[in-house]
Amino acid sequence: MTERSNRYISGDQPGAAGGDARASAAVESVVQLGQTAVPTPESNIFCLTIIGQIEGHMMLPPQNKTTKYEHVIPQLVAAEQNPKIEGLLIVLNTVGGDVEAGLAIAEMIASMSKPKVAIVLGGGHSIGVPIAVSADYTLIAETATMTIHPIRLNGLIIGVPQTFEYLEKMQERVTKFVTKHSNIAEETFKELMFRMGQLTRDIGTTVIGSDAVKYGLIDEVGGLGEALRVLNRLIGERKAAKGASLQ
Amino acid sequence: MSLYTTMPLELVLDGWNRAAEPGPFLDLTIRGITMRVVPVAPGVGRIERLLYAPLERYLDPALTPGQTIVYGGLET
Repeated sequence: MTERSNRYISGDQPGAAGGDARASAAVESVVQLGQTAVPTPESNIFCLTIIGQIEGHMMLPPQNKTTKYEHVIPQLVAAEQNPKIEGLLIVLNTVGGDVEAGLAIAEMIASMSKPKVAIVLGGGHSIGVPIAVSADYTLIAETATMTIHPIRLNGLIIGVPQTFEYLEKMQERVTKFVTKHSNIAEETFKELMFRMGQLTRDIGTTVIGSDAVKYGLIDEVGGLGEALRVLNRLIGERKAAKGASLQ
Repeated sequence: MSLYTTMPLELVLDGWNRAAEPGPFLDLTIRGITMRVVPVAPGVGRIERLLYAPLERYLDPALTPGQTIVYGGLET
């Protein structure tokens, strides 16, 4: 075997950990079955991508790229229940979407017992913020942004004080979730949400990479390698804790 | 429904009134999986969503919404 292929087999990335085991499995399959097909390694990580608009109770027109919550939620249940899956990597590049669907996904991720790491690439805006912070450990790419702005009401609006109370309650749900699952203070989050002069069409703030870390919204600036390293560490810690409790 | 997004609503909802109703949909059961598809060609459909499936099948990339599926003669 060449030095190059050896290097790949003995790499420290997930799935490559059992390099020797895989090589012996290949020899075994030739001896036992007379076939040379190398068994493909199964990943122990489930990668969930949240892209485009998060589609809720109504189907959005087809020009939207959407993440459908009715598919994501059973996927999360399956990932939690499947013993082969040991960790969850959430990749976010979303412009927001339905409040209820977004919060449902965020709550589901937060309540999973398996280790989960989220990475924000490009953008994790609006309802993408609670989904990003729902993981155990969160990373943001240096160039990625997160827009924090108030919720708007769509459709028919009745001009009564109760309308604004309802809106405030809805906003409070998002604020509470974000402050509970990240290190940002409620006052700071609200201050960013209502800041003026930052966005051209709205009030609010766009926090970029390191700013998100500075405010305590995200844990670290980093990329895929770092995300997988953290996830593998969390998986290892969980295994160790399980092993200790069995002894 | 409340949309909380940075995209202008006129872009998100563009075509809402002009487009025909979404669909027509076809509900099929193929090998124990009930799914709603949009027919795109005779015997070929685009998966809209899974209505009923064993839990582990939700992790199958071939059954993700938006994937095409050949169903001619496979319905049960």
